[in-house]
Amino acid sequence: MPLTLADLVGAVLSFFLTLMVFSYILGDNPFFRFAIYLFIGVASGYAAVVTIYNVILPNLVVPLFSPNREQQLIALIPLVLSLLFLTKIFPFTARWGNPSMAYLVGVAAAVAIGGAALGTLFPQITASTNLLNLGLLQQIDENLTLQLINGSLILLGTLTTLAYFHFSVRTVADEPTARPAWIDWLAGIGRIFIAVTFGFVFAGVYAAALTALVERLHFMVTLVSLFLTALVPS
Amino acid sequence: MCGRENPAELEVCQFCQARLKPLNLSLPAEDEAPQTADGIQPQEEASEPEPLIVDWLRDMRDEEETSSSSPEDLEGNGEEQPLDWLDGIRLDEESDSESGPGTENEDDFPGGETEPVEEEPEWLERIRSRKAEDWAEAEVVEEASEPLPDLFEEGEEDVPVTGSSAEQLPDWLADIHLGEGMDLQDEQETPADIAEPAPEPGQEPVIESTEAHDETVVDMASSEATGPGSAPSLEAKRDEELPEEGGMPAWYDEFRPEEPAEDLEIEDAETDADLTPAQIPVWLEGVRPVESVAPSPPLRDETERKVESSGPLAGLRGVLPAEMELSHLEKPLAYPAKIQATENQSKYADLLRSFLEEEGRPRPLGGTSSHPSQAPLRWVIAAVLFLAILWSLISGSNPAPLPPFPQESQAVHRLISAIPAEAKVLLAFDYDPGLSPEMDATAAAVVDHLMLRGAHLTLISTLQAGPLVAERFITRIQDAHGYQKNEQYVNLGFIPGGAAGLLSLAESPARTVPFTLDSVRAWESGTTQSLPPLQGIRTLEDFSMVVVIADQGDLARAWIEQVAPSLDGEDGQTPMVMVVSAQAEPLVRPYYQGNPPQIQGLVSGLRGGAGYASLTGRESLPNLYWPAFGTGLVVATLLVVGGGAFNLSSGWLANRKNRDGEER
Repeated sequence: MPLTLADLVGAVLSFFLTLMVFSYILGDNPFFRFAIYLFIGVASGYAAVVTIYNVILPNLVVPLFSPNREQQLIALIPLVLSLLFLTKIFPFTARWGNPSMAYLVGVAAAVAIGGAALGTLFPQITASTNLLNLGLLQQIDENLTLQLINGSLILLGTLTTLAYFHFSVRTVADEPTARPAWIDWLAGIGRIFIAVTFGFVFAGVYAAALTALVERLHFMVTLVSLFLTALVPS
Repeated sequence: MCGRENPAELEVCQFCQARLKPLNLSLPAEDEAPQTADGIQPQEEASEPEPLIVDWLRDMRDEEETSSSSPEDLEGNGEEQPLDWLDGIRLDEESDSESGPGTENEDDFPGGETEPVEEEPEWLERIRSRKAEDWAEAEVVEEASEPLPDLFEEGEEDVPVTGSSAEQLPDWLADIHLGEGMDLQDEQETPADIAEPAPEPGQEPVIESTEAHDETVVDMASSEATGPGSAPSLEAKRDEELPEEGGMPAWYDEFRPEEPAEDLEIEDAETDADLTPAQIPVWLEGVRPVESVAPSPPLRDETERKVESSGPLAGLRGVLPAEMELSHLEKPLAYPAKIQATENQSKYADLLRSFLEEEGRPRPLGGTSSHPSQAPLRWVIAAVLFLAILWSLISGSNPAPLPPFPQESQAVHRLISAIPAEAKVLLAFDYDPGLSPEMDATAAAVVDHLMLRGAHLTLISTLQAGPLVAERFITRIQDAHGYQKNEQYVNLGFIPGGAAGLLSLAESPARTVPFTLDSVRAWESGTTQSLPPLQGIRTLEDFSMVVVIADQGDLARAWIEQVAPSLDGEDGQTPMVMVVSAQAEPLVRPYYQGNPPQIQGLVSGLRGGAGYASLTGRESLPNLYWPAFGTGLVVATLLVVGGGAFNLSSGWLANRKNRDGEER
């Protein structure tokens, strides 16, 4: 694909903006701040444009002015709720936006709770119980022993992790307040699984960041080599 | 007795229950009392009360009489106003005193009979003589004080003490101070001569008290014993002065000339002109007050001399001083303000004070250990990484082989390979531009495989920057396939509402995203047809595959929770494949490894993308980054291991040093 002027200008800007972001290694400085502020501003502006053209206009404005009476009446509901929500800007009219806020909070909570229960909790519980289901394991056509060990480790990790977050204790007179000994033992094992999980998550975060670093350095090397190639005749 | 003021109508003091008014004896009218030339004997042998009582009572009566309406009231009936006869007695005593002592007649006494006077012991006579001398001085002083009221003086004049009666007064009676107008000494009658009347047999002994005197009034009225100056004594004297029935004493006539002479019922109307001092019997001497025999002057003298000048009893003589107690007021003791504490207590107090002072004193901050700046270490680590990666990118001398594809990536490859040509695939770009390098590299091989299969792509995103990322991905990264907008792919843009928007999309995609990013109606309506990538699509189940490219585990989970349940259709379940970042893999993998799995394929991180690229065998973006990525991983691993080892060793050395220091 031939490189156009816009591409060239964009590439040069990207190069310098990348250098500005890399300057954070030396500490907080105005170059880094400029790059960050520019990124936030551009992202916010683009988000606003997308919201207007992709949400408000097609879902609110167009139905209000459509010849369909039913669409107009239906569009009045989000219109009224949106206008009430705008009253949250001013303190003396903020309470008028409570119905809209309540509707948003209620819908979000219902969706989240329903999805968590039906989409994660119940299926994962079922999957955890099926880890030691020999009938199902045999259908997988894999090493049964390894599957059993895998299932046992998963079961052990699940139980010990739950035991780690068990903080209720029973108070007894003339005795220090502490968890039972067997719960403490299980919590210790669960602490190991939690630490391994945190390490795995950290490794994934580092891998993602390393990939971004590699990509940026690759871009800069590519651009510099391109300029050098253009400037230095072969 | 108590010296307090009482109303005039009271007969008994309301405070000390002392008798204020003498008992009104049931005697015949005073007019009937025979008068004798000698008058009623002021002193009798049977009279008991002492001159002290006579005086205070006299004073009180004076005050009452002065406060009374008129002197005529005093001339009332003797029974109604017993003071009258008292005054009369006083007058009679005065007259007797003027006439001379010793005019008493024993017959004047109520008792009529006189006991044989016992001879006094010598010591008693000495005492009386001494007392008489003292009282003589007191009387002189008293005479210099305010004079008694006229009435009293008049009455006193009417009560002369005859010389004969004075001479015949017993010693104890002579000792009694009669006060002004009743100075028996002038009448040749010393107080010593004024002896207590000898009680008759059977009579109660004389008790020097007002109450006792009051009680004995009745007795005295029936007996010969009368006291000078006292109510019973006067009463008795009045009785005694009645020599005969129908006759009135002289003093009475002098005092009340208008009154008809009434003979007082005097049992013994004998007047003993030659009354000799009675001999005090032994039993009487035993109950005699000490004051009367004490060598020291009686207290009565002082009180009689002193005239009360303040209070309700001002003007009275013989009143107990009200300021007696007040005169003994002393300056309050000055107690030391310093707390008397022992040495140990003082020591503890000083210790506590030092603790409190130390609390308020700011403690000097200890020298904080200066930590070395972390900037050089950060520079070193960055420099090492940069150099390693740049060296790998520039030189390309260490081309690392692509990793083996994992099982989950193989599942994705299998599914994509199974879709028909020009299949409708929903492609969700839910990652931010900041992580686009990794996500672009991870999803590049997968999307390339889809485009190789000729699939029509429907781009959508729950992030506001997602449509832009998607558009760039298709046009820049996959530009080799030459996909045309709204022909091979359509960008539906942004879904608002997060999870709620996904649920709405799952229920009705046409209603949720009716327009494309270019504001072109995407779905079929009455007038227009849907775009080619969306033809035949009414629900999400109509898609051949759903591929979600996400950089965060929450976004991937939202797609799984809200959209995955609606992908089960009559023709089977529409597979859902996840292309996630390496940081989201721990949260998404359980959905793939679960039984039954909720997602059918998983490609995670650059490693997964590189592995998928090895499956397709096509040069893709992961191939460019993999060698440098590997170098960076190696350097990072070395840095983590080296730093951990250094941290452990330094901690161990520090603990060892502390242990050695403690042992020393």
